[in-house]
Amino acid sequence: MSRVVGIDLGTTNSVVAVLEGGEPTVIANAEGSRLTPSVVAFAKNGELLVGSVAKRQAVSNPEGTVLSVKRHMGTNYKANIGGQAYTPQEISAFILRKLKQEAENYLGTSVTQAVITVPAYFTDSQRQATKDAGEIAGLEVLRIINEPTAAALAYGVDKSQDHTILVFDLGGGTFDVSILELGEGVFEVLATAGNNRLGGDDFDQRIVDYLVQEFKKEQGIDLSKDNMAVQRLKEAAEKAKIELSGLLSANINLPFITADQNGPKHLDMTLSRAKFEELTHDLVLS
Amino acid sequence: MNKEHVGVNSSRPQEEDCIRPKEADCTQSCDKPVETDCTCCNNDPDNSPVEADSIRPQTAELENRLLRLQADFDNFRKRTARERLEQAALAEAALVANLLPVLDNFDRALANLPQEADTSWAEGVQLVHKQLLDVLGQQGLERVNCEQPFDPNLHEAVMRETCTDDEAEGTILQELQPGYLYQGRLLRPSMVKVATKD
Repeated sequence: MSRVVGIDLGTTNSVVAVLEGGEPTVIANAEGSRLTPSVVAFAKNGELLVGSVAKRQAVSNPEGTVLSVKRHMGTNYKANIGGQAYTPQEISAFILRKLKQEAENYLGTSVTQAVITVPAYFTDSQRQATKDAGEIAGLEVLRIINEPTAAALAYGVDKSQDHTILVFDLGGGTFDVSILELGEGVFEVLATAGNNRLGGDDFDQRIVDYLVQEFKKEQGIDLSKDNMAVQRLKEAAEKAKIELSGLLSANINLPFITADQNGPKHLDMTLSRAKFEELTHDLVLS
Repeated sequence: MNKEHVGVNSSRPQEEDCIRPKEADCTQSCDKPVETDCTCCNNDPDNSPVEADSIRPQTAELENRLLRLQADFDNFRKRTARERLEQAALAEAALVANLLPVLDNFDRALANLPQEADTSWAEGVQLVHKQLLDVLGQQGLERVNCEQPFDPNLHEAVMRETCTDDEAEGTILQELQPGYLYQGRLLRPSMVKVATKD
């Protein structure tokens, strides 16, 4: 019995889910993650890589790697990788095919139909490109649904009543705000706004900048010059940001972050939620 | 058809007890007398054929839904049983993953051993480090080998450096942070600098 899956084909990450007994379940991939990076690459030996494994070699193989292909959907952009030119639909199809396979492995049955979400501001040609990508991947695309509408439905908005809904979607690479009107069971997009070059990474970067600045003040050393220190700061910044969703302050503890002639140096700072909001205030307002 | 939920102690037969009847005979396994309303069967003997016809598509639809729900449930049950077995392993892997930064910092501390440190104390700390590695090793922790060509299944390239030598393409020039496998699966990729041809 073949199943229908729901797919969020995102700029940075993609997700696939299935309805079981009326409840949605997000499907984890072979590596155990519920998110699959929207990255496609052809390795130097010609091997096709999709997802985390593609992301891991992006820095060493930038000419062979395609990131954020969603930004090119509906355009004549061609990705020249693996000795061939691929359209954005074909690149997206690689991602969709992987999601399809993951779903089939999880369910133990074939998956031939899907519902795929797109941003509310997507044009007809962008929507058609998304549908085409699905077909290339071997999926019959039953519907293309607006992302904020899908969010409202998943939230459980009561379709029998009229509502005005604001959906705030701050994702990996884009920030989208949508105003929807639900009337007589039909969703209408009234307005969209946001910043399609703003994502989670930008918030992390504000924390990193703050840590570098404070460390320079206290220790007189500029950590931004040390690649390994920067890596650790980025990871710690993301972790602190996540913790601040639930706690009012997060501790950032990085022993042996660097060293000078006097010996090793450590970074041990506390970041309050208030400070984080102050550091990122203008990002949200933009 | 009235699909009423029948309790265990009820004297009414459960739906499953009733053998789905053909048109005529409703008294196959019911112990209810024919005159009374037997709601476990589709047919009331007093029903006219027209009424029976009108509810047949509904019944077919409900049967369909029931079969689908049953199949869903069976699959869910099998998958849950499998997941329960994997759960313990996943929880362990999650704990070990959270310990990796601590292990990294321990490595860093030892790499920064001061010259004038009390040698027997330093030795003690090194033994503790060894013990930590032993315990984790026995549980299934294994360091990823970086003495091999770059493999995105094991390594993550965070930096690249141009090399002039064709043969050096794809060589790992530096391990910035070790990667680990846990019970055969990649827990964290090694963070490496890779040699590239450009």
